[in-house]
Amino acid sequence: MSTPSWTLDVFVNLSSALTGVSTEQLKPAIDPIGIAKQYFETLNSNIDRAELDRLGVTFQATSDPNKAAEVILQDPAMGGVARSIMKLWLLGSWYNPKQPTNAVNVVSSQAYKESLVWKIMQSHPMGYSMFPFGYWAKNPPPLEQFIQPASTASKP
Amino acid sequence: MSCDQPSQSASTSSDSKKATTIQSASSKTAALSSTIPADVKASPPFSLESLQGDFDQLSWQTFVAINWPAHANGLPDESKKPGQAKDNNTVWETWRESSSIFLAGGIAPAPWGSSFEPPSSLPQECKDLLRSGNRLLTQVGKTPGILTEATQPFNTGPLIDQNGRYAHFEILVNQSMFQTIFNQKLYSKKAQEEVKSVVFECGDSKEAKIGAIMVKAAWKHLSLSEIEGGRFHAVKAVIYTPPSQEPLIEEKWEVATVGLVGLHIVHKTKSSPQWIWSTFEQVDNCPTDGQGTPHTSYNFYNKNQPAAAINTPPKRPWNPNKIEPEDRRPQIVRMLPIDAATQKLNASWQAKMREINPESVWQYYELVSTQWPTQPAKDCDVEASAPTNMSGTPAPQFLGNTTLESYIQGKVPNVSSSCIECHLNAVTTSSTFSDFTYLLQRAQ
Repeated sequence: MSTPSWTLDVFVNLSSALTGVSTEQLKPAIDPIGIAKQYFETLNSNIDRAELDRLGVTFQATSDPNKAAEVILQDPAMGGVARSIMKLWLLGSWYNPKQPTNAVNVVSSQAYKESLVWKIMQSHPMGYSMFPFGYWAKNPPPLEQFIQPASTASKP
Repeated sequence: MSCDQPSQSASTSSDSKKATTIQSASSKTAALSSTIPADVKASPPFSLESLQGDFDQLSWQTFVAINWPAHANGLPDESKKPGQAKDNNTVWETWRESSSIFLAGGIAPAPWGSSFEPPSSLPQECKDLLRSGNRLLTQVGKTPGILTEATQPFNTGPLIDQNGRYAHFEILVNQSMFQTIFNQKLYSKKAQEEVKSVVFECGDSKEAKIGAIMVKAAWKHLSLSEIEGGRFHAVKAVIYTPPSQEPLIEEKWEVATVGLVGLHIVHKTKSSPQWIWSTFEQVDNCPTDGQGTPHTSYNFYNKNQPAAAINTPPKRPWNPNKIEPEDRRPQIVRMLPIDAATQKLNASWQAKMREINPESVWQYYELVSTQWPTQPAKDCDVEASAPTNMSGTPAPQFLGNTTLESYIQGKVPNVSSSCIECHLNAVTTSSTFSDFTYLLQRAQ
């Protein structure tokens, strides 16, 4: 029996290769928010299944996830979808691959709050803070405490 | 982290190998005990659902232990069981209430174990009533910027029951929490200026040590028929309303029988330095959104006015001395249903209460849920050990008690009730992080 080409786990592994952030951070084992599932569903409802299957097959065809991601990004059709996936994680917003400069929508209030861009900035979203009162008077913690990098050995 | 959960956050990933302090016994076979669990008991394989079940089990065990019949010194009376005599005095009611800790002028409170002394500001007649064994429930007036008992539903308005009476609130702390406040002089505004960080003690199963616990209780004035109905844990209390000029409210005190309608129990433990937030309610408080109105009547919902706006505070002016007319009584509805697994657990513990006595008042309480950090801080000093995720990504994301967070229920981040995410903002009077309690703001 063949392995399904497009699953939540494949999506998370591809997302990790595209963003450089660990799969554990993108989809924690104990996950009350479920942001990976939200993004997966967003992608599934906006992109044809055949296109997603091709993305999954291509990603899994190469043992090195970084090389696989590179192949995908350079492909004229898949590259746009991959960039939309990156924007989902970084900005919490869905961008149509065919109109890549305009966000269609913010996926959810949780997606806005959980966008990786805030962590990469070592900051917090406007209107929501995970820091205590008075944090602004101190230097932010180092980037390593915000972002867990993808391991090069994390290929599925 | 210490409950063998797989650690999640970037900043805490190395903790997954840390030695556990949690016993591996099954938490599903909990027996009645007067011992407060020092921490959660969890065993693999872990999932969000299994861990939620373990924390919910801890909530019920804690609820039973702190509602155990108590000796005068506050220790549980092992010769009795909760509800054996239908109702009983409880362990937590012997703990220290906030007004006995944060005194005028920031003077030191009486040490733990001292006999109760009414606040000096109260009228003599009121003090005499308190000395004869009644509880004190105060309705504080205008106190901007402070979460007082009167403003527990977050400054948006008081809670009024279907008899038109205002609900009353109190906050109490256990010995561990009191001792930290006492030893570090956190009862004093001046002393707080010198404090660099506030870290309360963690409960630890290995050492059988109970950590800091705070309890918030919501009470409603009981009518004669409600007293006779036997569905509330009831106590005699002096309800004291201080005078106010703006709005004009007369000083008043009365002795009344009040019934417990809501109870937050919050325990700081090694597995959960962001504290474990358990919340219970009396079962007749209100209906759940979209699930009809199966009860004959509700404490805070009128079945005859289904079209009235729900979870909307009454318009000002507010006067706790009044009995409010029907159109000024808020219609409270639970917006987030109690999880099916929690409902099952509730049924099993309620059955245990009935086994002790079919007329036990404790069978009429239910756990709403337990909030806990899925990515807990490495150690008890949350600010130092989890600087980029101080909330610890709580589960469930949102949790509210319909008597204590009546008007802020929902699912909007930073707006709807989430115990940990709200209390993360708590600071001392000198703006130092106060370890998830707003109590220290009361220092004078």
